[in-house]
Amino acid sequence: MRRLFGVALALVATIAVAAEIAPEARRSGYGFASAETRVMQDDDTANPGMLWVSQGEGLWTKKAGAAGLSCRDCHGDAQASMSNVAARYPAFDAALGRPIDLEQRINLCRTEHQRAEPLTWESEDLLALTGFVAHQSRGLPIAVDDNPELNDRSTRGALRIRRAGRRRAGALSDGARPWHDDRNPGGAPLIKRGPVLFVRVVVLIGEGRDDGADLGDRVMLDL
Amino acid sequence: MPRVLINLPERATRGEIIEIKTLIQHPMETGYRLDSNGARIPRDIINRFACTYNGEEVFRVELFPAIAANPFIAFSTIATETGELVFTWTDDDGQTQTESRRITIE
Repeated sequence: MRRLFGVALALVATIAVAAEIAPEARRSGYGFASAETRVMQDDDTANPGMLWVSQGEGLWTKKAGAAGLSCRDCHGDAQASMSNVAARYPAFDAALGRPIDLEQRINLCRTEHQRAEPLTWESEDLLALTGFVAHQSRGLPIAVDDNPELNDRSTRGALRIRRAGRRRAGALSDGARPWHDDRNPGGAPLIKRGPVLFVRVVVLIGEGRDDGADLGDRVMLDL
Repeated sequence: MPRVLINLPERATRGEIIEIKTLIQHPMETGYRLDSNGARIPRDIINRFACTYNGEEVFRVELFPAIAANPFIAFSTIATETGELVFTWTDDDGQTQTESRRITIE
């Protein structure tokens, strides 16, 4: 029997299962940065991130909200009280029943203790305060809690999706936001990329033969 | 008030070439971008930076819209005498930001 045309469509869905990496085998993102980026990061006076750190230092002592409290009023000297804090985040918040990251922690402090409006995501002030707090953990290894709830795949995945969508600024500015058009804030993302699910579509187009040897052109799309 | 980072040695020997690095927080809005409503975002850039050493200008630069946000400017000069280096950034609104640092010559 002879088929004149054959079109085959194969859909392969792969769920990438993230294997745990042993603590001693973990490497800082710094190790993956280019030589130029490392040089910039090594010199605090050439690293634009330090502008936000110094801005955050000012915000740390600024009173805010109905309670009229500054961060320092509760936490004291950040150098002592915030050392190692950023390394522990994201952490599981028992009251909320879900994991939260450092920005969310800062905003919880604002709403609960300062009784102030939460800071807008990606706003200068939130980036500055987060940068300043995270700076106090500089050089320390990531020490995220082994809380089974935090490591539960569904809650961790939810956090990752949220972070991926919202974060842009970071050590390498590699959040998902670069895929959005800057000139169209809030607009549809140009590329949608799920954090753990990769779908590979293999489309085979061409003249089919009895022996099935030549299937013609092959198109692959990673979605 | 924009934030500024300046790096230069506090001490130097006479005749030594010293490197000066400056970084200032500024959006450097080009004037070519549109906002979410399609309206043009007005140009707002630092267009001039100058450095004087004991009153004498040792470095000056004109900046244009292609310069990225938070401009980083590094240059060198010869350490001649103990004194003050004054750095001045001027933007399109005519606002200036002035910072000074002392240097001691041994």
